[in-house]
Amino acid sequence: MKLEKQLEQLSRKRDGELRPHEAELGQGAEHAAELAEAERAWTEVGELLRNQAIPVPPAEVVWNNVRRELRQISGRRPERKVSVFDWNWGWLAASAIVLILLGFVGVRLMLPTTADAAIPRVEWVEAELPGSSAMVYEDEASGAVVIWLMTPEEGTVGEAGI
Amino acid sequence: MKVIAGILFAVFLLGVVTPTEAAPMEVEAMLILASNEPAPLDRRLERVDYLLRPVLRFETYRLLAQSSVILPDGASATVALEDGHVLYLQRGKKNRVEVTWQRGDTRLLSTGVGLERNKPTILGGVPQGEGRLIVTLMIK
Repeated sequence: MKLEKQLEQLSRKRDGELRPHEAELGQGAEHAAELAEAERAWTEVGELLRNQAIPVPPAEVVWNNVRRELRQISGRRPERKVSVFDWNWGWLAASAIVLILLGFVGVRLMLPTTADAAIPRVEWVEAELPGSSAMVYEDEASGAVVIWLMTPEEGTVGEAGI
Repeated sequence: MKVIAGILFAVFLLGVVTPTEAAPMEVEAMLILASNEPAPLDRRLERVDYLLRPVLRFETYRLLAQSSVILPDGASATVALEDGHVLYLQRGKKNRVEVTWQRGDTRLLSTGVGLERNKPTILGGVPQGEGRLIVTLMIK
């Protein structure tokens, strides 16, 4: 096996990515000395990096930096002056048309259709009591509709004022 | 521009295809005996008494039975009242209702009528003793 391939396997092994059967294939490596040297070098570099002190600024300093950055950003934002001439007249016209159409739709939903408006309150009546006939009366004052069965003895019973 | 055209088209479609299915309505039916025999005012009829008097001109009205039913669009319902009186209601478009009034197996009256809120529909004239039976239908 080539040295580069073995180095790659070694690297993956250190990272825990090497599968068991690959580890078996890598045993008995031809370049044992080079591999040992590389592993030692990597270990040293790792330890060196781990031991290096990384300066961490105090939280107050970081917070001040954030606030300063925010101030600068807000200062950079240009003030936009609103003018009638800046309005998007196309959108305004479209919005007005939409509102007008919505109004029409609302009115259309609320009003009865022409066909419904033309139908009288009482469409049909069948007097099924033997010997009777029906009379329909709509009282304009109250809006009440009366469907009255007229029977032969109507004159003697009650004084229905219809 | 395409957006505006899209909005206008959507509004147009809304106006054209918006379904106009009517909401369920609650119908209240009252079976009332009207006569000219003197009797105290039936307080249960306060809501309809003032409507009946100018139209029918009987002396007294007495509530015999009262029942309510909820009628969805296109649905039918049966309202059982006093003494074998039954109403069969079949709701059509909007608030139009086909009503069949029966006493037992005897059909007394059938009609197709549009019910309106605060405007009672009064079916009546069926002889009962010295008086007449009335059925009022109202949307609650």
